Amino acid sequence: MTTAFHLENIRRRFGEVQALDGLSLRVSRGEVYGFLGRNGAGKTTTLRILMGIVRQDEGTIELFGKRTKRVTVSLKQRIGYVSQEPMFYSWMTAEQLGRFVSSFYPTWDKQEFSRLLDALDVPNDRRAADLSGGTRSKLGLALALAPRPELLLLDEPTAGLDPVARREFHDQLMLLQRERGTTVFFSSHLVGEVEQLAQRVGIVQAGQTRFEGDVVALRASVRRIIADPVFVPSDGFERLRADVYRASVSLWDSTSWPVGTEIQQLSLEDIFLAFTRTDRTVAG
Amino acid sequence: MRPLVLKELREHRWVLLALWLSSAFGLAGLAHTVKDEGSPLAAFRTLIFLLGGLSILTLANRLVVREYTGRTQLFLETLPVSRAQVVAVKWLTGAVLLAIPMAAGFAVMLHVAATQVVLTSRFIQLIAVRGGTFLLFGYSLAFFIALTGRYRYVLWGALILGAYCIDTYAQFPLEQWSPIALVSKSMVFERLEPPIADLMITWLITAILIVATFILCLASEGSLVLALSRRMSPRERVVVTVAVISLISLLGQLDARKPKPPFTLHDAVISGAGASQVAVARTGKGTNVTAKLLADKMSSDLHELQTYLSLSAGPSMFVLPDAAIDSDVFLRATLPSSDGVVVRGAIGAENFDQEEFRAYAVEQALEWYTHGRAQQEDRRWLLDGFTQWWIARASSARQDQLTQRAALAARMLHVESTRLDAQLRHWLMVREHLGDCLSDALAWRAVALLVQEVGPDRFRQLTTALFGRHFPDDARAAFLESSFNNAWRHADAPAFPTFAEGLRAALQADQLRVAAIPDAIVEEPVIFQAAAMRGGAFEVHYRLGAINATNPPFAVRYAEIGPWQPELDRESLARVDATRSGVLPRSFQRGAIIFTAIELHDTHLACTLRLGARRWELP
Repeated sequence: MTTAFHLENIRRRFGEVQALDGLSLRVSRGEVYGFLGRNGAGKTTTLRILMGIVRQDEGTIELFGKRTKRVTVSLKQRIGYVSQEPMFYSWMTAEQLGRFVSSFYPTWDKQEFSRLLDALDVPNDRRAADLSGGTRSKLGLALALAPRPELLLLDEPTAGLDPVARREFHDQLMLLQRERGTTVFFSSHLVGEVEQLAQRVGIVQAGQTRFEGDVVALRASVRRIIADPVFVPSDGFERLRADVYRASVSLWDSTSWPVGTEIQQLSLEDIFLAFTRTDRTVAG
Repeated sequence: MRPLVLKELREHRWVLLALWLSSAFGLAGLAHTVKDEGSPLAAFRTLIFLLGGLSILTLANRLVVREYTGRTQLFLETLPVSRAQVVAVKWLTGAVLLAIPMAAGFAVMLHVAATQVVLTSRFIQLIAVRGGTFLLFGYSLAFFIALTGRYRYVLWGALILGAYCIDTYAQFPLEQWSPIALVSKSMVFERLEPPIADLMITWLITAILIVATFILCLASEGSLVLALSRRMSPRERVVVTVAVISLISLLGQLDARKPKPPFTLHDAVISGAGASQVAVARTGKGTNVTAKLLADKMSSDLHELQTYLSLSAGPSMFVLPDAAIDSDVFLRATLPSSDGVVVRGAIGAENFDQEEFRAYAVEQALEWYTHGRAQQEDRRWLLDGFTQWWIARASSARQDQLTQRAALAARMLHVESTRLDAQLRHWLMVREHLGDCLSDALAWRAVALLVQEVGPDRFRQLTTALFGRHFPDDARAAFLESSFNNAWRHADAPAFPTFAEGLRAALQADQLRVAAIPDAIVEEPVIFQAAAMRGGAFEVHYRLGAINATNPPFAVRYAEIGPWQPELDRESLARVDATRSGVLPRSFQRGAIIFTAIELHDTHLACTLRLGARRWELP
């Protein structure tokens, strides 16, 4: 698979706060990538760098196969972005917002925007101020998808939504992604959401990538060892937290465990906690 | 660019329409209000200040503040458009939206002025460049300040206060500042030379403001402006409030006010020089000698007074003869934009009391010197008496006259049964009751007694402490000046009640000694009665003496008293001249409090007597 974008050793500091501290990520075209991290781990900063809203202090970005120091306007035209809390002009209706946003994208598909509004059940004649939080998020999704972007960035898009609206949003997103094959990179601190949507996952903590890979591979490589007395495995096992270790699947399988030792599979949430719970939270 | 411009136009169209309509109405109004300004184009100057200023503030607020405080700037940043482009579009859109009504207004002004003023292309260009440059400066400033978000009001306040302070305290007139000098009054008259220096400086400032605007917008990837657009924290609000209050209080304490230019009188007889110079306006050939004599005497009064009280300065004194006012009426002009003391009197009139007028002038000079503190009620009797004493101190005839007047005043006050110390402390009520002439005489008698009791040196010490010290014209004076009681004590004067008892005895002795008191006049009854009219209003009837009696000419003085109204001076009293009983020409509502009195001139005392004066409430 070709790479949609690759971030390498990205650092970014806001005053005293080191928001990103050598973060590296690789996202392939056509995949749905879940970007997991606690609040303040550096997810939004990563997305804002990808959107060219802020610049990295150090590190390189490769976007659509092109290495670049910063994300230019022409690159931004190939990206769709849905922010955590869409800040639309309150006096504009969905239709007016579509007309306004369309002017900035040469690839804007007017019919597609109308179809998306219908599909997402967004009224096109009501002012943004009168829309609910969920509808505003769906409007943001429609605005982001109408230019048929190659890459869709979503910054905790369901953070403020109730479970029903969240499920609706997920369904529509997956439907559209399947139809289009758009690369989707979404950040979240909700493990269930990532587990449900993402094919690959990246875990970020304190501005660094702690894990990046397949969800299934992640679950296979991180397990809990329950033994009495406490058993410390040999080299090749990385202790994540207490009795949770990470190792290659072959190592897990080839290791001979003492009698009474139990090797337990973990949920993605447990794995996420093991990666992040002991770490220091650094930035937003 | 285009979608951003269209967005701005759509977002602000109603405000712009209102702004342009108000400009159109304003323009129509201005064309009629500048007739006295020498050129119809002066309306354009007013347009720049009023509607230009309003447009600038409105545009900056709508284009910048609204975008950032509404956080919609974050939405714009997610679109494929650069931050610099967004700012540039906003700035240019605002500039064009400002230029359209102003250019239209200018065109209308030129059209109106074309029939009255010769309009050359150079003249038109000059006005356009000056006005346009100033507006661009104002817009750039407002745009920049709008970007400072929650501090914009603080910055505007600091800017206005700073300009005021520099103008007022640093003697650097605002209208000479480069940006403002461009739109000075000469703007619509200067036809030949462009104010190159002012233009260059303004362009430079404007360029700096534009650069600063972009730096601020782009600094820290726009996060600085976003951070500034957040609301003030409670701590910031407290700090700003305290700073503003402290600054205003501090400025209120400063004395270094911009001195007003001295008043000038072009055709006048002048006597003396410097702080004791007196100018009496010429009114005709015959009055020059009288004017010169008066000017000499007044100049001498002021000169000696300055030495006596060790005054460090004196006002420029101007006298305007005014035959239209009564001979016993003296007035002081209010000078809003110049400095000096300008007094008016019926100089040369038959009953004009020159000594009284000189005493009045001395009192006004001390009022000027002490910023009105000499006229505080606790010391007012001393001031009235001192100024009379000062004029009469070398004239036994004047002293005799004052003695007779004081004896009459004592009789009218019933000094034998009244508390004189209280009367002296509430001197404004005594003045209201007796009128100027008799109260001045009574005050003179008190001062004459005081000089006798404490001796000339201590009296001088007392008057110097109360009238001879120059204080700042602000709140500091309250802390620096001596209280009357302190000054009285330091002069080793007798206890005030003791002094008042001595004064009572002296006045009673005077009444026995002076035989010329016009008993007949004083004993004439003075009657004011209210009569109900239809609708709850009242008319007031007056009578002097017996019913249907014909009297010498007298004046009925009256006034309706409002809440918290202090002493009624002569100027605030209405007047009806009469020789017999009658009705006041105005009616009063039920419950109104009015002051009524009858004044008549006594030739023997050369004094206007006030009879039957009282405040009373209508039923």
